[in-house]
Amino acid sequence: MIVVTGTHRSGTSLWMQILVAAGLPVLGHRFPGRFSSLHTLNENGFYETRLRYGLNASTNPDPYTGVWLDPDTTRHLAIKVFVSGLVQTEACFLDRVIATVRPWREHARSVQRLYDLEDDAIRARGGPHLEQRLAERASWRSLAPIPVTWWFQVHALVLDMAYRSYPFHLTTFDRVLRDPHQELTEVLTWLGEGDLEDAVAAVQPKLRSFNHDSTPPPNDLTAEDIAVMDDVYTTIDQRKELDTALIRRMNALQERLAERWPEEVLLAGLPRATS
Amino acid sequence: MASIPERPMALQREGPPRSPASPHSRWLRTRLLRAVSSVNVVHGAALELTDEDDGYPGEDDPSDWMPLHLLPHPNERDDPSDEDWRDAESAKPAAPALHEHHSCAALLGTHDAAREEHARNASPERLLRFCTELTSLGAPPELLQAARAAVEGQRTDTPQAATFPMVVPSLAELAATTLRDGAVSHTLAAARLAEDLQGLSDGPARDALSHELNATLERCELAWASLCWMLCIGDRDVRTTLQAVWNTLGPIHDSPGPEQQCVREVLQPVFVSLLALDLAA
Repeated sequence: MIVVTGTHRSGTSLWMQILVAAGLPVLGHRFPGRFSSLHTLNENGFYETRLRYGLNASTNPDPYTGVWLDPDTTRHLAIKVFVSGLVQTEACFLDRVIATVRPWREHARSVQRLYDLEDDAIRARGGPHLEQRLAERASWRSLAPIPVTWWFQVHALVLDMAYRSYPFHLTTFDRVLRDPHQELTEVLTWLGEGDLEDAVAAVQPKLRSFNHDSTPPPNDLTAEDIAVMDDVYTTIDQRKELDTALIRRMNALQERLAERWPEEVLLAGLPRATS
Repeated sequence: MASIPERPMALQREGPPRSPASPHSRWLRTRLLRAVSSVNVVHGAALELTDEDDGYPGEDDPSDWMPLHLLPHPNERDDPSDEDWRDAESAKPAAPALHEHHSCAALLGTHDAAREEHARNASPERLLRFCTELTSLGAPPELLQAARAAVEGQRTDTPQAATFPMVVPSLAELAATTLRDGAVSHTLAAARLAEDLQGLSDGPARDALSHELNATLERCELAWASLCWMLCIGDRDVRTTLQAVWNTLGPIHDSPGPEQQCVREVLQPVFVSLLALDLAA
C-alpha cells in the first residue's frame, strides 16, 4: 500500500486528496461518519478509516465486518495512517510511505482547534455522562503539552523509518503548498504513477488554516528543546539530510522529554486527535 | 529506549519498482473511484430519508422524481406477465438463484462472448428492470435519476419495448446482480471500448465508439454508486453476497489478457475501496 502518514493536522488529508486527484485508488472516504461535523477543518475531506491507528493482526481482518486486506492485492491502494499507526503497521503493507510534518507551533494551534470542535460536536450530540466524557477527554489531553506530543510523533516517525527498511518520502506541509509542482513531481515520480497536473490542481493554499506564528513555547521546554524541534523541521523543509549531529540532538531531546512525561504518552504515542 | 541510529539519514528511500496501471486503466479507475466516493452524497440522502421518515427531502410525490411514464403501463401490455406486473408486491416470485445468472466466467471469456454478455446487461429491458428494482427498494433520488438517464439513453439508441415480470429482489440479491451484470460487466466493456478507441483515427467510427464508451461509463458509475448505497443501508448479507460474487471471478492473475488486466488494475482496487466503506472511521 501507499501509506500516507504524519503528525495530526500536518497535511495527511491533503496528501490523500492529492492522490485521489492523481487517479490513485484510496481506502477511506471524504467525510466518514461523524467527520462531517469537522468539515471546516478539511473542506475537501479526511479520508480516514478505522485503520488509521495501524494495519496489523488486531485490525486486519476488521473485527467489525471481517474485511481482510491482502498485502499483495492492495498494492495499488493508498491509505491514511497516523504515526502511532504507522509504527504498528505490518511491514508487508508498507510499499511506499509518504510522511508529512508541520511546524510545531502551527500543529499546536491546529490541534487545539480540532479539540475545541470535537468538544462542541460532543456537546451538540449530548447523551449520557456528557460532562464526565468531556472531563475524561480534557484529562487525557493534559498528559503532555501538544508540542511535546508533536515531538514524540516526529521522533517515532524518524525512528521507524531508520529501523525498518521500507521506502519513504519525508516532506513538509509547507513544501507542498509552496511549490506543489516540484514536490508532487518528485513524489509521483518516486511512486511511479499518478497524473501530475490533476494532482497539482488539488493543492489549494487558500485552505491553509494557519500561517507561521509566534505561539510561545510551553514553559517546560528549554531553549535547546525548542531549537531541536525547529531545526528538525527546517532540515526536512529544506530537503537536507538529517545529519549525525542533529540526530544526536534528537536522541538527547527524546531522553529529556521521556523522563518528564508519562509513559502512556510515549507508548500509545500520542493521544488521538480524533475519536 | 530506542534511539535513532547516529548516521546521516536521507529524506527519501527508494523501493523496488512498482507496476503502475496502464493509462486507460488509470483513467477508468479514476472515474469509478469517484463514483464510489459519491457514497457521501448517497449516504447523506439515505440518512435524510431516515430522519424525515416521510419521503425524500423536498419531494412530496415520488412521481415527481420517478418517471413512472418510462415504465410500460400495465394496461398497455397484454403479455402473460401482466399479472406479475400488477401484483408485484403480493406475488413476489422467488428471486433467481446466483447460479441462474450469467456466470462471471463468461465476463472474462472471449471478446465475442463478453461483448454479447455485456449487450444483454446493457439492454433497455435490463436497465429498466434495474431502475424499477432500485425504486422498489427505496433508492435515493440521485441514483434514480442516474438510472432513469441510463434507461432513456438506451431507449434512444435502441428503441424497443420493455417487458418483464415485476420482481422485488432482496437488497443482497440486487447487490449480486448489480456487481456482476452491472459493475463488472460494464467496467470490462468500458475497458475494451477504451482500448479499441486507442487504435482509431478521427472519423464516424471513432465518434460512434466514443458515444458508446460514454454511455457505458455512465452505466458503470451508476452500478458502482448503487453498490455503495446498498452497502450503506444493507446488513452483513449484502457484504457477504458481494464477496461471494467477487470470488467467482476466479484467479485473476493467471493470464495476461486485457480482461485480466482490467480486473487487476481497475476492478480489484475499486472493489476493495467499495468494501472499505465499512472501515469508515
